[in-house]
Amino acid sequence: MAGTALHPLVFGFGLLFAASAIEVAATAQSTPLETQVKAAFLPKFAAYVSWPAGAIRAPDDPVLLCIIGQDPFGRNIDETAARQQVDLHPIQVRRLESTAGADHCNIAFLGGSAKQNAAAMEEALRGLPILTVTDANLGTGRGIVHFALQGGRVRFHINDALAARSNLAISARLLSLAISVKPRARAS
Amino acid sequence: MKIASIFTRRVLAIFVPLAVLSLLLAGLWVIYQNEQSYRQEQQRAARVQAEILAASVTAALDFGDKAAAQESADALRANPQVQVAGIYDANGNRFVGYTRTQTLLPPRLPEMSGSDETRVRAIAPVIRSGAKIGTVYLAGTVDPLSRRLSRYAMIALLVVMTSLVLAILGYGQVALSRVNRTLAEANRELQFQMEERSRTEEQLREAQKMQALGQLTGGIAHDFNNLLAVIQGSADILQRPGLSEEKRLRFTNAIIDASSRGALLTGQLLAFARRQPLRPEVLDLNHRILTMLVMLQPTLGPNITLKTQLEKMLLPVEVDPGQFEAALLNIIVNARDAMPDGGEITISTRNVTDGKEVERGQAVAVAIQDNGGGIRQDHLKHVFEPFFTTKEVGKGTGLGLSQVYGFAAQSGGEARIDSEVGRGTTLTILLPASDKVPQVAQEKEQLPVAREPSGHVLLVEDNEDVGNLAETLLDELGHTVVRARSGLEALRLADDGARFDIVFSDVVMPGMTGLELAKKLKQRLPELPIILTTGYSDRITAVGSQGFPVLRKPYRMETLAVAVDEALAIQRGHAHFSMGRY
Repeated sequence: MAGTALHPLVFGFGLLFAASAIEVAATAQSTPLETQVKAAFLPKFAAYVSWPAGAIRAPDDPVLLCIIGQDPFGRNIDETAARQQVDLHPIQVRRLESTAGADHCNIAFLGGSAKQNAAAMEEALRGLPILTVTDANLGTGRGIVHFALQGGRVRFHINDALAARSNLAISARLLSLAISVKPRARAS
Repeated sequence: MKIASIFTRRVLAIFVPLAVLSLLLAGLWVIYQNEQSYRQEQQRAARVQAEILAASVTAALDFGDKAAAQESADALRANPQVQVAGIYDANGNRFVGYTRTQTLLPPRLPEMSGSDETRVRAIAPVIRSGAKIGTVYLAGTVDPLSRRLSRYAMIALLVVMTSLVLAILGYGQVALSRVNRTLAEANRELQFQMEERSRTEEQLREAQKMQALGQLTGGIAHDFNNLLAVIQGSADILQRPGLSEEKRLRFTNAIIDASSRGALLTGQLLAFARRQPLRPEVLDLNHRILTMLVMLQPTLGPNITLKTQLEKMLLPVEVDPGQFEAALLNIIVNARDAMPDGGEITISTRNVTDGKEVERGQAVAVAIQDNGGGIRQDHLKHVFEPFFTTKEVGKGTGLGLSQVYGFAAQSGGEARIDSEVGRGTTLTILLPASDKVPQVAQEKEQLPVAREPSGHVLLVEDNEDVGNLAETLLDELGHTVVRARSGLEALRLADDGARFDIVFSDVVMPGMTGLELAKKLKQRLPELPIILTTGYSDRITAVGSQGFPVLRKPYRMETLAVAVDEALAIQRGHAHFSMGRY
């Protein structure tokens, strides 16, 4: 059973932490809790998103999770991704400098860089079947999923309209957790 | 029927409790089954709820969104039966949940030990992409027992009602059969009483018959005693020496008349027995009445005065003279009996010509009036009924006025009675007038004198006295008599070649009857004249006289003479009479 990141509370008291979270906290003391939570979230999105046919070919093809630009997660993301699996697909983390050569990514965290900020990255990848994820802490760009802090907790906005343009379907379960959802046009 | 009813009762006594018991058991079984399926349903419902919650809480659990998970869990609060809802992570630690009861939501996923009596429990895994990321735990209450029982109240009520109806029916059946038994007994009792009653009635009828017979025989004896008194008295006087011719004639006539009345009386009895048809003759009633008065006056005694008021030109009537005389005698005897201290009897005749009295117009009324005690009104309507009599046993037959009524009616007329207590009674016989001329009545038949030694007569008679009398009479008429005491003796005499020209035989004899004898003799001697005589016409009535002339007993000397002379004349070839009865 793949480890599940639980209780990534900003004010999390040790008592409430799941084993994995405790582990995360123990192994990455230098990384802030917020970043650890986001690192735990990122591979999980794969389970709630459907890609168009052809994006993932074989049943055991990995789901490609790309960190483009700056990487706030470090080793954390590799660990959580390794524990995560979507059906039979493993999740593979790949770090890229820019959006160039990112068209085969399935999930892309747009960290932004000096050459290309997150907004530009988003714009570059718009329309491709890639779930783009941005962070309010890292530039002005807003991907399909956009991390934000609310009430001291890590949460996210979802732009479902953008997902629709990328031919992605996002599970209603995930939508129900979002702070806000920009709905897709009805007549898709 | 009784055995059947006992059997039915036994069967009912076993069947009814058995049926009630099985009904109750069936009711309990239905309730138990319902309860089971209800619990299964509850269990299933809880599991479904848990699964729904598990599905809806997947993402919230996955992303650690307690608020969203709590929201999903709280959705179940709408269902009051869900007491506890908990969401646990993959390690079995409590994530979110709520509890309605005092008990706390367990911090660790509880072991599932199935549902107990009061709780329904269910768990469902939270699956994300084929991986179990947590567990939903639900615990709910089932309806309280009282509520569940109330759900089965209708079934219970139905069962109880049905049992009650069954029990009542069974009891009713038993009670009914008991009532039936009582009824059957009552019916038997009733039937027994009815039989008893009809037996009693039969005995009563028998007793009445015997009483009637007693009255009849008593009456006959009484009437015959009167006649015998006349005959004996007259005969006693005739035996006295030195009797004048006039007296000798009077008393001889008295004897003859008494005998005639005796004959009338027996004729009347035979008429009553319906063995004597009417033999109507055209009569002058005045003449008949006067003739009878001569005979009647002495028997009425000195206290009774007989008077007549006879119409001069009385119309003739056509009636049986014997029956008329019997009727008149009956009325006069009744009148006499109504006046034990003496009185007056008036016999009157008159022509009735206004046509109102009798249908055919002219009629003759004969009224006999007495000044006796009269008849009570309630008796008056019964006087014509047979055997009705107010006289004591032995004094009257109760047939007298019945004969009067029958005679009048049979003759086409009628009989009426008027009576007033203390004043007397008038009895009127109305007879239709006849347009025929009455036969010239001979005041006295000429005693036939033996004209010539007529012939030899074979007299067959088993009764010695009657035989002697007949022999005397025949001897007096100039015939030679050969006596035989039975039919066989007569046949033997005939076979022995005894000489006789005529046979005069009684009918009713022991051994061979007169009829049989006559037939046998006829075979031997076809030309032999045979005259039969009998006082009792039963045999003759039954088989007929077979063409032989019959002389009715008692017979008068002249009748015998005529019968024998006629028979002889026929035998000698001078037949100028047709054969007939006398």
